[in-house]
Amino acid sequence: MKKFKLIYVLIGLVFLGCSKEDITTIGQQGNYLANFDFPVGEISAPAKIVLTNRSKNADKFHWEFVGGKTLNKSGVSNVTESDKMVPDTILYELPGEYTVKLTSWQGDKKEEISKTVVLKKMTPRISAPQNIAVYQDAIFDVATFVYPGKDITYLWDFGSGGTSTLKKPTVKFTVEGPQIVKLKVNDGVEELNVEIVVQVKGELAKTIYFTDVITRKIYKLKLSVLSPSLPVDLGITTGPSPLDLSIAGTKLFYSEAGAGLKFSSGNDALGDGYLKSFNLDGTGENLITKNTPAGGYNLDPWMHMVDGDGNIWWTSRNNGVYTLNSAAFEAAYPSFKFRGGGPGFGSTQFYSGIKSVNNEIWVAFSGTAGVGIQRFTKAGVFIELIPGDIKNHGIRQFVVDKVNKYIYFSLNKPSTTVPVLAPGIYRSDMSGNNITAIYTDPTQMGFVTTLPFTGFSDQGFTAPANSNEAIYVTGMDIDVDATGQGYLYFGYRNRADSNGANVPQAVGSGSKSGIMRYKLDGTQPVDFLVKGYAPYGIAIDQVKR
Amino acid sequence: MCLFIMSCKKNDPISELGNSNNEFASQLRVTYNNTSLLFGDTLVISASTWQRDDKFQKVDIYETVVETFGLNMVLKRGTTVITKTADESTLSVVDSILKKSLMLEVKAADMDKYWVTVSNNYVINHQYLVKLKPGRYANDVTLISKLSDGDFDVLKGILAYAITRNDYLAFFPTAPASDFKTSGTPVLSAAGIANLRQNLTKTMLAGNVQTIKKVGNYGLTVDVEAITPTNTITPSTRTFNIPL
Repeated sequence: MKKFKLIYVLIGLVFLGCSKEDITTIGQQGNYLANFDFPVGEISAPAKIVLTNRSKNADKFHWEFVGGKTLNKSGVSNVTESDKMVPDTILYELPGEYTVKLTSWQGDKKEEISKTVVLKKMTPRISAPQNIAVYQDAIFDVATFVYPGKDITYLWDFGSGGTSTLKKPTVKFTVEGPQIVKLKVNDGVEELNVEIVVQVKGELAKTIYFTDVITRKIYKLKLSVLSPSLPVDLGITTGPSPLDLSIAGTKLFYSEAGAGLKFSSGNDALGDGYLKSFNLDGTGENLITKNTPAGGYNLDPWMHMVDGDGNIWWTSRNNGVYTLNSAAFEAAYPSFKFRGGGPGFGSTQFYSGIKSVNNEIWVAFSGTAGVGIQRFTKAGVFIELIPGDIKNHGIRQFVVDKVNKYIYFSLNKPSTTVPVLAPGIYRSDMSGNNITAIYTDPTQMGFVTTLPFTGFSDQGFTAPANSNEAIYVTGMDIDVDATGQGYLYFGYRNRADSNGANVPQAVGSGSKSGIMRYKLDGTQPVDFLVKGYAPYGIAIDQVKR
Repeated sequence: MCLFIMSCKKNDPISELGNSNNEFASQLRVTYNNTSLLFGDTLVISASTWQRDDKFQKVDIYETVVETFGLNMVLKRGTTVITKTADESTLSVVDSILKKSLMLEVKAADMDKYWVTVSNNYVINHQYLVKLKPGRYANDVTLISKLSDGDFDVLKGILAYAITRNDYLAFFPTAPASDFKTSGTPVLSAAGIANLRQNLTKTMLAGNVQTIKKVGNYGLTVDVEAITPTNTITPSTRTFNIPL
């Protein structure tokens, strides 16, 4: 029995020895305080308000929010009291001044605090689409306070987009740029006015760039469909013979042949041509290279193109094809890369249009001993003279329609062999056969050397019928979509606006000249895209901007 | 019996370290609404803190701005020099734009305004609009004149191996042919490189620059400190690298 007692005593000692003051929780040791806050900032009715309880060391709470409703997972109820640490969301439906009272307890201690919030009537808020484009539907909406049981009216004024009395109107702006949208809301109690400014973006479209021998400037014109466009002066002054333009990436390239286009002597025979590049807005002028006076006019750049490798290739009057990196800056004028070849090619030939086609270099010729289009590798190796009927005709410029598989070309030197063709714009298949006339009206495209001035510019033409050196249409480009629809564009200089055998040309008002276009499906007659200019080079920026 | 005695033995390393002075550091947790900042963003700094005895002296939020950048420079005749990329740097300039500066201080007397009963914490939110503070180096050609002589020497060393013939001739129009190699890169011979390093001045370089811009990071450091009355500081630091 004693043994058992001793064991109990020892066990008791053991437990006592283990006993220590353990802290199981760490609470705040500060003062007891009742406090809460409304959300920061101005609040408009109808408002859902979540309060922030800032009370310290309280163990019980009671909230009273007269005038509000309780919003929780069960929905909206008319409950205006809560015993939670933080009450559910309080919904105030009408503008006004509301008081919230918090009572808290810490044991027997009790504190009360009341705070007031003023809820303003929500100012009508216009909701506009992110992107608004001219001539395209834009849906507007407005969020506004609605008094229960009262009618509300809207009066929108969209300026060029018209007016509407709908809450959610659909409008079309006809003017691009910043536009003011005004709205009058009558909520049955008062009239409220709001307005916003929206940016109406212009139509995304391709852009055609063109030279003008009358003003000696380069212009661009957006090929917009929905809204009218006007030519924009890029601020680039050209020489007397800006024979060709092209676009590669975000650069505009320009080749200038200077004085001396047909057979020349004296100052006209000095080399003065050059190649330049610009940003598409006309800034960032860069002189790629320039011929030297001693180099002679036969080496001046005529037509050009930039290939997919970023190299610029250009033809000269009758001295071959040249190339440089298109990013070159004031590079020394190079020697020719290659010259024409093939059967019948001789010394009386004139290099003309040049294009990159299927990773090859295609060059057009116009002369007694060099006509048609020749194909070369990029190494300058002659491949062939395109063998169809096109091989018999002097071609000043051409462009390939890669979708519909056609070659469009300007023919300045007719063949004496069949088929005999008058000067004009034609189309062939990719083998140079099945030549079809596009625009060959002799009163417009022919050479007339007697008064009254009419027909095409006689520059380089020798009466009565020698058009070997006729400068003719040097600017030609195509806008074709994936379905084969689109237009062919070419620069048209009527003799009334641009005449004289060589350079400089005597110029007119431009009233009979401009950029002409041919609808690729042939459903419209050839007409003017724009008049008032006498273009040599033209080029289309194929990216819609 | 032995089992009972064993059960009393507990591992208590804290008490083995010494006796508490009953002063306790505060706890601090700082969160940010955005960790990939860009200029124009609003950074919300959210500092949650508590202290066992609810004793605070203050909570401070500081900002420090240091810009570290290289140069992307294009000269008028084709030379391009990039001294800093994501992978490597040949010249980095450090600009201490703003030393550690107080943005917000909440003193003990105001702490109760920030108490949030639900989370049992003081929650201090601070909104900071991220915008570029101009430093010593503007992002244009004038920064060349501000480079230290040491940094400019490094830049000349890089330029000597990247310069084009035409740009070199723009600096030294009467340079002899011996300043150039006959082929290959760099285009300068040892004599040309030495000449450029010795004789190119900041003014000459600035006059031949087509474009120049800084490439690198704008480093914004946010320090939050919760401080008790005994000056015990609980810090939190975060640095945001904002691309220039």
